[in-house]
Amino acid sequence: MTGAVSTPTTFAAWLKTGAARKYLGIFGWLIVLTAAEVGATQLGLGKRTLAAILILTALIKASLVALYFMHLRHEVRLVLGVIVIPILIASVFVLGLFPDIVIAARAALR
Amino acid sequence: MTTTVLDPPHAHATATGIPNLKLGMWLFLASEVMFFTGLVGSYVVLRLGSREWPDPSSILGLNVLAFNTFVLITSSVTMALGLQAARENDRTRLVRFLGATAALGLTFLAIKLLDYRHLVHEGFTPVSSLFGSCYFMLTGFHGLHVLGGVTALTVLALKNRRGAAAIDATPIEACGLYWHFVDLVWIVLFAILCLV
Repeated sequence: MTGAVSTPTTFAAWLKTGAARKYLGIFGWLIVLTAAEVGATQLGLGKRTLAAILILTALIKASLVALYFMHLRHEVRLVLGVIVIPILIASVFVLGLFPDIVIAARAALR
Repeated sequence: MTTTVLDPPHAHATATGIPNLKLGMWLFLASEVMFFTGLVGSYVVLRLGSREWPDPSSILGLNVLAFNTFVLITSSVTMALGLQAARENDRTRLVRFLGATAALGLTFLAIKLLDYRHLVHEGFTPVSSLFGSCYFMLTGFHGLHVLGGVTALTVLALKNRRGAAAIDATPIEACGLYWHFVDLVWIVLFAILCLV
């Protein structure tokens, strides 16, 4: 394939082109969410509420990186399967430890 | 300015429609997902199963770690912009962005080492507590991954410094996938290890 790509000459103009602009937008969101995470720790919230907020924010940030920087939004099903299946399997393995270690240990501590 | 983009020298069709190097990197990242989920899962299980756990903010320097998060997120943007430059066959911008990404990775590692030094000086070591073991184990393995990424980025930047042929964007994309994954892992570690 041979094609012609028009490249803006100045760096500032290049940063305003489609893909670069999108990356900078995602960067802005990631910084705002990180600042929100740090800010949430200063609000004196309950432990469970704070943990829920921080884990949710981290998941949103991780999703933004995976979808836009790693381009998972545009990947074929094969790639999605390659990455999603290990996450599910590993999560099941970790959750499988909960009845024995977390729940039983907590019950013993009471 | 108009740049002519030619097919890279090693480009060829594959049965999956995905370049082999890129598919190989995704498979490698799948194994990395298992590795880090195992480590993070162990931490979660140990923490939830413990009677007492220290408040991370009372031990760790939150501002320093937040700044390090900013550094790594910024490096992800420079990496993404580098791939964009490679796709547009812009060698100068590609090398600059790869160099900037590697420099930000080194900055992250330098700050991490200073953080370790400060923590050890304060008596928080891998053997001082269960939290200490988890913190140094998780951030240590992550740091080794950052070091591997910096090495790969440096090699790619040096390889692409000169040349008249079209840039092969597949190695840049594969390296970028790895780098973004390392960033993604830190985003999770920062939240569950340093803030929660």
